Order: sequence, then structure tokens, then C-alpha cells
Amino acid sequence: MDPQEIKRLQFDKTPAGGWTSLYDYVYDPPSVLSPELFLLLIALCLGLLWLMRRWTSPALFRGCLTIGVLLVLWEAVPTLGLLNPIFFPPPTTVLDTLAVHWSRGWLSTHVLASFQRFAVAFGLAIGIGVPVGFLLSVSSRLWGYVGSVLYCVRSIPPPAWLPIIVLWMGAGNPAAIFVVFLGAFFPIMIGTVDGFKKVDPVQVETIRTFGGNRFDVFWEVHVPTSLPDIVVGIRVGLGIGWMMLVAAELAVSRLGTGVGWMITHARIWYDSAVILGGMGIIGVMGLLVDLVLRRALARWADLPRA
Amino acid sequence: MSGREVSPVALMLAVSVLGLLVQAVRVRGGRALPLVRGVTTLLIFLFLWEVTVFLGLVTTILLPAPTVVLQRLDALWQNGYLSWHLFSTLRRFLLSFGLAIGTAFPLGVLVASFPRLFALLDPVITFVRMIPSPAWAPLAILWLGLGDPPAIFIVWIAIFFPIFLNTIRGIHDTLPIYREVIRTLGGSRWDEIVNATVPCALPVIFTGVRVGFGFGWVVLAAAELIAVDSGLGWLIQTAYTQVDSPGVLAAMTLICWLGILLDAGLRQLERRLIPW
Repeated sequence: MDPQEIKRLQFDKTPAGGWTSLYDYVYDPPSVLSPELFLLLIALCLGLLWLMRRWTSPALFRGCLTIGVLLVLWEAVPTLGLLNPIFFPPPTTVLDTLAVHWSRGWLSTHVLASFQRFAVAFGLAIGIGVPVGFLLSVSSRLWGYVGSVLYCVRSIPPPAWLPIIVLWMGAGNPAAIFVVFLGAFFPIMIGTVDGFKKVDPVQVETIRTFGGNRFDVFWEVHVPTSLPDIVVGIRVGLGIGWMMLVAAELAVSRLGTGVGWMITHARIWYDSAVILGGMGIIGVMGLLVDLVLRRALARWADLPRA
Repeated sequence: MSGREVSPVALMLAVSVLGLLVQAVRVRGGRALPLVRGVTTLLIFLFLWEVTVFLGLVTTILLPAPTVVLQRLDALWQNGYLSWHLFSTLRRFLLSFGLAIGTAFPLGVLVASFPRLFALLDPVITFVRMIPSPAWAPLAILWLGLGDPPAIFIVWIAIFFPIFLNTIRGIHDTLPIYREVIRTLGGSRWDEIVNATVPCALPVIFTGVRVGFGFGWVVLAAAELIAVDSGLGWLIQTAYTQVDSPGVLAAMTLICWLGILLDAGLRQLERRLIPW
């Protein structure tokens, strides 16, 4: 669903709900999930886990018990009026709101937009960071020259780059992608430099005695030795890049799509259910990306060093 | 520069750079070569930048010359704006940093001492940790308004988790053999903690502090773009809305300096506290 259609729907007279604007439902949400139903579901899940306790680890049950207790508390406090439900919505409201957003297709738009931006930026960061790191590790003279300039540029936190990048590139996707790239690039580059600097001369000699040329030395010695450090750099770059994606989407309000944009936009309308739900979604997205990356890189991270 | 008086900022810069170079060459002789090379590259970069703007190859609205940026810095300093915003940013960062260490370290020690507590809290911690700190910004602004409190909250969350997790890991990973040795030598439980656990755990904890510092610095910049009413990030944002690129670059330079200074300070602290 493109932003134009989202704009149109905001002032659509929906027959089903009778809303005149998107955010009318803040005051009258369609309540599918009532507090009692929610508590019942939690009790059912916990009961099931307790019945299955012989077949699962005890830590699982205890962990889920904690989560269950916290969820019940979270539900009880705003519903009983101890905290203002507008500022601290109970999970039932959050889930209802997310369901509405999902049924209208907005959630998938925002999630996909964020993923796209991150994928492009992170791919660029790896694609440029690893070769640059390799080049810089080759000669320590070059590193001496370029290192301090890079250190200065690295000391400027990527969000501080955002306004000047927006001035240069306009307030849209390229600016957000560039800032995420900046965030992820430096850890990856430094990890690569660190990795390629650790070379065991004994291994190099071994390959040479077996008649290997320079490419063989590179492929058999340099690459396996450096991969663990590169993987560490990639994981750090992932963390920082993800933070920068959210920060860029929060600061550039003209983007119109993206989960970060979604939660900032919701704040203007005091729509804390979307904010909380959006935060949860961002957390889950980050978890997914981290898991996928770890599985993809697990093969290389366990290589023996030297 | 033109025939007016030399700006104090440029003077300070030049003196500090020259002093650094002289000191390095005097103290370390040949080993100062990388430092000299680095500074030379920086100066060449600035010179090329100045020449590019001078020759009119770029739009000066978007990319002003370094001398213009320095003049802007000087003007801000003389207005008194700079010191206030610098102080704001520094105050926020140090406050959040101190709060984070003050909460993460004791909590980490507590959780590490009771493994069942850790097992109970693990799913919650993992999930909350996965939410990147800038994502807390709209909620923080909603609850706490604009200004210092949301910024401190966001930066606190960013710094808290690395220190907390590293404290737990540092204490857990203390090899039991060290504790056994202290016990064998007749030490009490307190001796065991002070002479075995603390020296083993401190490097790991300090790694967490360094990571938290890095995260906190990055997140502070993000928070200052949207959540505050003073500070260097606010200065950048305000200058941006007025398409005032010398101002933007001046504030960025200051953030860079501040970051380098704080980082050097942290490294010195680490060297003093953990000589091993």
C-alpha cells in the first residue's frame, strides 16, 4: 500500500467502523481481545506448560512463568486505573491496535520498508567495508596515513551526520540508507583490518613450502584466520546499524514508511498502543535479523585461529 | 584568513596540533611517525577541502569551507551559546553514564550471586535488550516530555545493558581455581571476592563499560536530534532547519572533539584501574 493510499484512507468513511479519521479509533478501539480473555489465554498456556513439565526443561516453565506474571501485571495496572491507559496501554489494547493495523496492511508496509532500507545499507556496508578493510591492512604505512582521518570520522556519531546528509541528499530513503551504512561500515572495516593483521608466519611458510603461490597463501591462510574477526565486526555493525535505522526513521519524518517512522508518527497522536506495539515489532525484527545472521555466519566463526 | 584578527578557536587548534606534533617527535622520536603521518593527512584533507571550496567546485550553501566553519565556531563561542550547549550535552552524557554504571553494576552483582534469579529474568532481559535504544524515544517523550529526562532515559537504557550483562558474565566466568587458591591460602569469603573475583571480572566489566560508552554516545546524538531543547545535537538540528551548514558542521566538529576527548579519558581510566 503506497503512502498516497494510506493518506486517502486516513480520511475515509469506513462503513464497518464508521470512523471519519484514522485515529478516531484511539478513543473507540474495536475490542476483540478483552482482559478476561487475555488472562484466560495466559492461564491456559501456563497450564499447558506445567502439564508438559516432564518433557521440557524446568527453566522453560520458570521463564514463561515470569513472562506470564509480568503480562498479567501489565494488563492489570492500566485496566484497574493505577496508571493512565492512554500513556500506558494494556496488552489487550496493544494487540487490538496491531490487529487493526495489520488488517489494513499498514504493518506489512512499514516492516517491509524498514527491512529493505536495512538490507541495502547493510549489504553496502559489508560489500565496501570488507574490501576497504583488507586494503588498509595490507600496508601499515597506509593505515598510519589514513587511520587518523578515519578515527575522526568514526568519532562523529552517525545520527549527527543525519542533518547534513539530509541537506545533501534530501529527506528520503537515500539519506536513511547512508546513515545506516555509516553506522555499520566502521565496525566491519575495523574488524576486517584486525582480522587480516593476524597472520601466522608459520602457516604462510607451510603453504609456501608446499609450492603455493600468493593466491594460495591468501586463500588458505589469510582468509580463514581473519574470518572470525570479520564476523565479530559484522555482528557489531549489525547492532549499531539497526540502532541507526530506527534513529534515522525517527528523525526524518518525511519518509512516510518504516517502523521507526510509525512509532514517531503515533506519538503525535498520543497513540501509545502503536508505540508499544511498534517497539515490540522492532525488537522481534532485530532478533530475527540477528538469528539469521548468526546462522549464516556460524560456519566461519568457529574456524580455528592460527 | 582575511585581514581581521585571528580567531581564538583557530589559534587554539593550531597551537594544540603543533604542540602535539612537537611533543610526539620529542618524546617518541621515530615511533611518533604514525602520529605525524596521521596529522599530516588530516591537514592535507582540510587543505584540499578549502581549495575545493575556494575554486568554486561545490555549492557553498551545502559544503562551506573549513575556515567558515571555524569562524562560526568562534562566533558561537563568543556568543556564549557554545559553552551552554556543550555543557548541556556533557552533563546529560555524564549523568546517564553515571546512572547506568550505578544501576547496572550492583544489579549485575546481585543477579550473578543468585543464579536462579538470572534464569528467571533471562527471557525478559533478552527481549527488552533487543529493542534498540532509539526505539524507546517516542515512549520516553510521551511519558517524560521534552528536554533532559527523555534523553537521559534513552541514553541510560543504551548504556545499562552492556554493563549489566558483562558484569554477570565477568563474575560467572571467574575461574573457580582462583577462588580455590585464595581459599587454600587461608582467605575468607571476603578475601576471595576481593582478590579473585574482582581482578578476574574487572576487564570483562570494563569491556562492557567501553561498549556501553560507545552505544551511549551514539544514542545521545540521536536523542539530541529529537528530544531536547539544548545541547550540541539540538544545535545541529536547529542549524539544519535554517539551512545553516556552517553551523551544522561546526556542531558536528565539536561532537567529534568531545567524543575523542571522552574516549581518551575512558582509556586513561581503564589503564589506571586495570593495570593488568
